[in-house]
Amino acid sequence: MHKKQMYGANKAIRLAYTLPCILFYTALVILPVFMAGYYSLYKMSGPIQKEFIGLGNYSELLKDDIFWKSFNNNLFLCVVCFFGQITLAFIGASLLNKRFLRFKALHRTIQFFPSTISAAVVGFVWSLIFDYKYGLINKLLKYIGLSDLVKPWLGVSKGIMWVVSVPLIWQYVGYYMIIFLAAFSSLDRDIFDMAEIDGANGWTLATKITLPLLKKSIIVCMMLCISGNMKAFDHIYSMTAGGPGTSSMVMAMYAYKTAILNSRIGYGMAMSIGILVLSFAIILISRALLQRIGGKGDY
Amino acid sequence: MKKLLAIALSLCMILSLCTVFASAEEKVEVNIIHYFIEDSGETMNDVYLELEAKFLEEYAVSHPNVKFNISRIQQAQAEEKLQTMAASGTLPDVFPLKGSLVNNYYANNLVYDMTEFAEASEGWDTVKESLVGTFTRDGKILGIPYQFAATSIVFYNEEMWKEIGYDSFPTSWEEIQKAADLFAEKGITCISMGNAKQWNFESCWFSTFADRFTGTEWTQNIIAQNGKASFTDPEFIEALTQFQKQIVGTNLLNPDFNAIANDISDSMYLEGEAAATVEGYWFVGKVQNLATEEVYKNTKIAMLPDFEGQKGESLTSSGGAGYSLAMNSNLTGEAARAAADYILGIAGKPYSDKYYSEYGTPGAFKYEGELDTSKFDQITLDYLAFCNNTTFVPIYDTSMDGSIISVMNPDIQELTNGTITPEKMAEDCQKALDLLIAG
Repeated sequence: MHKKQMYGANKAIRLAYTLPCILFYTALVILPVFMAGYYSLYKMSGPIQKEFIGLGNYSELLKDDIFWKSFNNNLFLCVVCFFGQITLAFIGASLLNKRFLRFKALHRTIQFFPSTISAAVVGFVWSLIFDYKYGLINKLLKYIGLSDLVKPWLGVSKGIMWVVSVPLIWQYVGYYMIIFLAAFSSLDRDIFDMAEIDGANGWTLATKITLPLLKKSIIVCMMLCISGNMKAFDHIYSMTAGGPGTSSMVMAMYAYKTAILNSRIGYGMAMSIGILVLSFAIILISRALLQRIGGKGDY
Repeated sequence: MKKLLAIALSLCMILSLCTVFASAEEKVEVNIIHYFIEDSGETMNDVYLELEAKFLEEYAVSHPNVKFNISRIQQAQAEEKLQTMAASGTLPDVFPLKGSLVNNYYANNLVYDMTEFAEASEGWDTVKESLVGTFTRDGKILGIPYQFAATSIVFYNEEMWKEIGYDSFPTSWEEIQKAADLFAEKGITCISMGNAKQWNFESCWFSTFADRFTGTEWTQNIIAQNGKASFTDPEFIEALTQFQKQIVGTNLLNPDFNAIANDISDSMYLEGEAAATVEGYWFVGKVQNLATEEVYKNTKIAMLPDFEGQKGESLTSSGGAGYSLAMNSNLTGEAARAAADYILGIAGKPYSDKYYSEYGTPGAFKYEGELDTSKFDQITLDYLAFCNNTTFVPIYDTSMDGSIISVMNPDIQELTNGTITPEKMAEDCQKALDLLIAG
């Protein structure tokens, strides 16, 4: 009776309600991908100058040192942010789940708040924190007597990717924490109570009980983390713009600089298709890996 | 009742669309973006805005149906926005055009041929040929230059240098390094520098520095892309090697020179925290308006020293065409006329003449008549003398193609950080040039 109501005469109304969204999504997300694919087959420096070169852009891309260096930087971000964001988010969510923690709502709000701020603003604020003369980090180091460690954090090529990872991790820990909290709420509290009665400590609870039960959520977070970091742009742009030189360059920024600032639109489009393909590959590989580690299951 | 209300509201929304189609008379709108911002404390902006206000007032009377929509945006922020607009073919009606972008914009038919308007305008015969030449292709004038940009001037605080035993800015690099060490002992930055935006080293230092090694003919050959000069030539590599040597591991600059932008490094000098800085002609106005009394009183002008045995001419300095104002190629009729009137009525001869006669700063047009220097302050007189007595050489980022500069600028950051070899940087620049020559 209920099923008939859902899938029967109301089909047209369902379509009418979802159609604007589908059209919108197609126009703004799906269509540009195909357009990028089309333009990537051309040598284009502007809206008029266009020359068909087939896969020429892709063969140049395979030999482009800076692109592959940027890809490495993106991979670095994925790995660091996986352990930074997701691990911290998991610990945070576990703590928020504990009985002894007071002011849970306040902790949740403070943790989640950074992910609501614009990434460019976060990058700008952190570039002030990292400032050589007036930044918090250097002031703190001088205050505790570690003046030797003071350096222009955003002006030194070595270790720059660690530096730009910090705001990324800081901003999105709360976001993943909320996902874990939602997952936690779906777990049966009795399991934890029974485990505690059997003598399981915090570590055993987390590793032997919570983690396996949250496998699906971790996979979701991992995919979000990878796809987010493969297209990282805003933070890096506002802090270093890929500098010094190209040491903190990431793929999305390199594609932007190539297409818009260097007026090589066709090549930039080829790069964005490259980013799509590489991100997809990385996600598939990491899912397969996690499947191996976590054992068979429905992912 | 609710249904009636819903229908009434929808009707209101539909009817509001009708105003789009109603137009009383032939209104002409000209959309303009330029870099002359308000309340900047910079003379170059104040002079332009004064002229603009007067022009708009007079034009509103003579052409009441023309409306100018002007966006005054800081150059650092607007440049990328304009590039994006150019890539999608949505440039405004009037926009700033840099020398290095002329080739690309011309090939994509983005710029209006202003030759007729320019040649008919008052005082056009006084335009400096080399400056307008930068914005001319196939005999078509594509932009009206609004600056003679001297980009490589040493501004130093005479008092601070006297305190460590130098009567004037040193004339050799060895002496500068010695002075830098002395300043470091006192906790003072010798030369303040802000290269976070990547153009500053190349525009204000390196265009001059490299020319001393390569000579100007080499630079002209690179600009012409004729294959007679290459970045892997030993003179250019020598320039890169020496540049790296002067900066990496020395006390010459503030340690965060690649992490801060030039407005911060400018403030360091203007507030007396640095003994010198290397900036362009725009800095004269900054010293006059934004420096402390002490710094303003003691600021003198000098040049980057020669190198022994250098191939290039002695004491050259980079300067020439910088930016111009151009028109969108899709303008027609009265809109095109209005846009041309705006550009030639403000940014052309009027701006050049006013800036020169009242502030002693040479512009893109030759000034006819005697210059009254009696009311100029010392720094203006020094700058005038600098302009009159210097051989100017091309500024890399306004004369070389943008695709070379986009490789050179980040590589200079790495070079000055010591993370790239001169040979690798030369190779990268040459690759970009080869791509261009291959077409």
